[in-house]
Amino acid sequence: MAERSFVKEIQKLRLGDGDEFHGEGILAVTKALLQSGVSYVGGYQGAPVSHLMDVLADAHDVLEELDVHFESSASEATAAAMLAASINYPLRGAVTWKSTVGTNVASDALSNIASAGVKGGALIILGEDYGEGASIMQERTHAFAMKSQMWLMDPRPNLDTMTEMVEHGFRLSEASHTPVMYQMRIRACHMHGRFIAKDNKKALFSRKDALDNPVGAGDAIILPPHTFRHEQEKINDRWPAALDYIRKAKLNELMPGARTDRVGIITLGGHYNGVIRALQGLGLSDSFGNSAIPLYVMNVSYPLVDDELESFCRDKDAVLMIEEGQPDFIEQNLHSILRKADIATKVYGKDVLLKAGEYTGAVLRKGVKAFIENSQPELLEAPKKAVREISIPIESIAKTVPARPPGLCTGCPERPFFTAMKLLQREVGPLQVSADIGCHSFATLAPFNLGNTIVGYGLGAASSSALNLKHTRRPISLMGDGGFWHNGLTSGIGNSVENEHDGITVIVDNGYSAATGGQWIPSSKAVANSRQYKIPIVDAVKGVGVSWVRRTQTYNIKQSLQTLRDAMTTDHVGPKVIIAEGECMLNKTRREKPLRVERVKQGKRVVEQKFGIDDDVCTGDHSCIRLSGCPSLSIADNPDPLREDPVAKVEESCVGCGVCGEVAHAAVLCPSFFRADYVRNPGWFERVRYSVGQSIIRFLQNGIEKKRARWAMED
Amino acid sequence: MTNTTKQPIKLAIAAMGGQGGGVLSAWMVALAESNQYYAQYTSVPGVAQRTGSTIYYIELFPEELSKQAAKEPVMALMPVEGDVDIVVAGELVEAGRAVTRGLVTPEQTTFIVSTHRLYSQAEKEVLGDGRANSELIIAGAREHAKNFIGFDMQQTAIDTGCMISAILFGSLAGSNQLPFEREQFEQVIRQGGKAVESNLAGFNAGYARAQALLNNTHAVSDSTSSAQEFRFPTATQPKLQALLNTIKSVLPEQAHEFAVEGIKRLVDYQDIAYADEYLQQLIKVLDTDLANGGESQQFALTREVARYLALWMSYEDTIRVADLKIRQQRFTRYKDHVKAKPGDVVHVVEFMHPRLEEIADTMPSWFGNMILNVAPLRAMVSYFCKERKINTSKLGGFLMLYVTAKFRGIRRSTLRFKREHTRIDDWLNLVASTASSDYQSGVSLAQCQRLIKGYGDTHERGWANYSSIVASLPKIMSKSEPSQVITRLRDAALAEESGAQLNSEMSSAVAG
Repeated sequence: MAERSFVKEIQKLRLGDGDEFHGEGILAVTKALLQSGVSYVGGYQGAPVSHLMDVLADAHDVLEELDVHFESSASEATAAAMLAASINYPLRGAVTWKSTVGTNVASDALSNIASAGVKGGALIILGEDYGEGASIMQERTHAFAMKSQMWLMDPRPNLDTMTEMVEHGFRLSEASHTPVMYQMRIRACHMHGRFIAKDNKKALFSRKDALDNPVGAGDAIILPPHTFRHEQEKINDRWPAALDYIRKAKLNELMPGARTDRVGIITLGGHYNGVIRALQGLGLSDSFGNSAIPLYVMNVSYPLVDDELESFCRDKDAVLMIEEGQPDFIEQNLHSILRKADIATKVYGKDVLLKAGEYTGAVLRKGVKAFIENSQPELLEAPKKAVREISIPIESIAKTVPARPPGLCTGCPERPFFTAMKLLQREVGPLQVSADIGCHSFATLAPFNLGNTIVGYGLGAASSSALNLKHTRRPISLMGDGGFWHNGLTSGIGNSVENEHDGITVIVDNGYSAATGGQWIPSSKAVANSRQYKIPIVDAVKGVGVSWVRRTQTYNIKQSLQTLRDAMTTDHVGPKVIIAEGECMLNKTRREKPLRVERVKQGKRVVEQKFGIDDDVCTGDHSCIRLSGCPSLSIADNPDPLREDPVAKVEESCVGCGVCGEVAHAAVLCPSFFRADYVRNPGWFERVRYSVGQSIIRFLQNGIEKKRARWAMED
Repeated sequence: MTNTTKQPIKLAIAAMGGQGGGVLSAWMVALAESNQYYAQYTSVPGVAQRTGSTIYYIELFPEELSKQAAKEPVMALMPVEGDVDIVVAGELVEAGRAVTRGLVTPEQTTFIVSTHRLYSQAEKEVLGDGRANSELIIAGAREHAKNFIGFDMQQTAIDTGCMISAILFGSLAGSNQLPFEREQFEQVIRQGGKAVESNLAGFNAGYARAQALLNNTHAVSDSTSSAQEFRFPTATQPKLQALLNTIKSVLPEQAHEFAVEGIKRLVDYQDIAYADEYLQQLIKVLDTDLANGGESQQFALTREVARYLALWMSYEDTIRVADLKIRQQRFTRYKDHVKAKPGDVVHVVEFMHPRLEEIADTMPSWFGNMILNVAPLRAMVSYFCKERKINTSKLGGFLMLYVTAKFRGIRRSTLRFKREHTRIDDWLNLVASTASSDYQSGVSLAQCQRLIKGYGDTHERGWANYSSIVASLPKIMSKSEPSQVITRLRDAALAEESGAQLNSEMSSAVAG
């Protein structure tokens, strides 16, 4: 998939019984899927599960041997709908996406599949993007599990447990005829660890068997009266069956305490390692998790096993419930369970931990400490004293340290288009911009500050719908090519045609689903191993009835600016669509750099371009930086002893995309930029011509230098 | 169960996405796993990957102990504040951030820091100087750590021709904080099989520096090079030497550096007569300075005018730009920029966009005015006002700039020259009269020349900001501490482009 190669990872998928797997969490789970005899896998890329998708997309051979069908789904809804194959057939299937955004998109299909129930194990691998580094709103997947009656696993983050729980997940799903969500937190996905592998398994029932003998089971259809029956079944049959399996397979773990039985900690599996580290910090656990305090570790966070919780809490004075995020579903549920069983054990939870926000190491340590101080303080040792006084307090360093949010990469083709938009604003005034999800979201940050709302992936155009009116400053909607194919074509473009929207929609076409790791999409220009893409966005847009469509090359700022002006001023009634084209530089470099190095090695003529700044011409105003925002365009001490302000500087990392020159031209900036064209392996004629020219130039320069030398000073 | 149990080694890498933290982490994992250690490594790539700040976290634990206990270690997935053994920071502000996050403690943490800066957008986009205070961060980092190993690893990487991750890896080895031998580190690089030689060179450089810093705790690891001390120069050209003599005998010592730099610049910009004019103006300023008690003020007025008058008199016009672009040292600069070897073919392309105003400015003033005011002529000249890419390394392009630079001969008669010198005179008069009523305000006003810089629109914006301060001067002078008001206005004008900050400062400055 895309320009990256995953050969090494694919080898890991081939490991057999007894081999030791070393690698990333999400890859271990991928391997566990193959060990579980899965028949089909689908999903939609996004951090932190992109890796699962990328590796399987390249693993044709492995998948063929096992008769596993893999596809990159068009959206999470598509992926979820794929699980329909497990409703009537004993086919194990897994789908994956980033949660909670992906689960939102998928929930229509999920609700219906959960209602119908499944025959084959259905596993939904959710990369939970919560806490530091998250790119989405902070919500819990737990609510989806509760509302649709699906089971939610939240395994301890070590590869042994994680891989084992995948197999249990399928069995739990089959035992209870219910799809199971398997939640992995972002750090667990990216965690490097090890586990002992097993052989991959081929499913006994094949997809071909399903087509040979289709099952027309009317009672799985989501229509009354079946839906009423499904509701009863979920509660009366599937739920008890699930509890039964969880109990028997001991999916939740009871860990005894060495020093006390009066207090205990109930934690979700995903938090287990953090809890142990907190206990270690308080002298209450060793490095192997032998804890002073008993623990009940819930690798299944929904449904709760009432009797297990009752027996854990019954003889204790107090327990601490560790559950990140809001609402505190489990804590509330625990109170209800204890109340009904008439158990008076005090429950601590969000009162000693954070009410909202990430349960970091410090939060857990503080919370566990407060819990023990309140419930059994003699377990704690006296705190240590600080070794020395500090004269530069953390606060004063914090004031100095600037924030560093992520931004568009060096050479990014999207940046010059936003420069053009910024220049357009200089002409027409501030604009209403409905932004979208993707790399282009970074345009909402400095130096562009373009974007007033982001409401969902591919929803950029749709989110301008209410602002459909005749106005001299038409609203602009942004959308990436990824979002466009995800749903923007229908929800945005189609909708704006249907409703004669007068606004402008910009589709940023960089050739990939770039923000999620550069995966291919239908409009990708590349030729993949097994198939061709290359479906022009412009055809799709015209196909749904847009008549005003313009294409512009993003690196050509002048053209983009003119196109934007045209869209702003045209008399055309109905949507104006601009397709801003420029290939993602990360992928382009990945593909072209090795080729270029090879060509230079072979002695072929190659021109390497790099931008630079004449620091004696630059006056240190940084207008260029405010219009570009390129990471490789930076600042440096001013070499001029008379000037104070730093000069602009092009860093080593410049890829020579050409935008600096374009910006200098389009914005009529300053003449300090230059582009150096380094000709590798020039021909003899070029060499001769160059050296003749250089000799004459040097002759003229010598004249200048002679004059200057007369007026020189010496220290 | 007790505190005597061995804990994992906890290592955090604070860096920017794409800066090599991933490579370093992979090396650490390989180092541990090939030497009978468990290694658990996590990060939060996602969007942080794209140049945002991010943290990689690694824990190491000996397999031997695990075997004895017949249980696998439980390792954390994120650093706990106050409980990290080694923090590696690939850039100075990220080091500062690690301190503010509480990862670095005097009880426990060895802090390995590259002291170079990669500026954030917020620091870069300021119109003046928005850079964070590096000295404070270095001092803070040193103080909060148990051991501090800090130097400019980016520079070391450039010098050795490797990526910074190799220097960081070498420094880690050289810090003596990990239970592995130097050989074992090197083996990891060899087995990696990528850029082995340059990575080993970088590793060695990092190792050596870390060891040196470790053995000499008082060593100044890497103070940013302080400005070179000023030495009064001599010239062989007698007229130039005469000006130098005047500076030495007439001007106070505090103004020498800028005045010498000033005449150097103006001779280079125009000619010796122009430099002489500068010096005469400066001597007049000195009179004002002396008359207003300048001696007790360290002659700040003369010193600051020496700086800003030289800058204003050497305003950037087309002639100057052409002059700078065709010099030999400039040709060396662009060739060095791409690391070309002598004899290699390297072309340079300039991005020029002369506006009608710049063309008129470079003409004798009568003709310049005609261009601006006579419609047919204006239209004709406008034809030439388009963006141009000029290939200065080719003869045609070079000659175009060479000829433009020759316009220096008629500079004094150009429209721009007249305009700038009227403005300069007004400024000098205003500085003098302001200094007479309040010395510091005169100095602050002189420093406002800093606002007028750049080309085209940028220059016009700067001039407009300067003018608005000058226009409010009478009101400002009636306030208490007017010099501070002027300084605040100047800083506001340099803070951002829209002018909003200047406007709000201005309304509070002239209110009441």
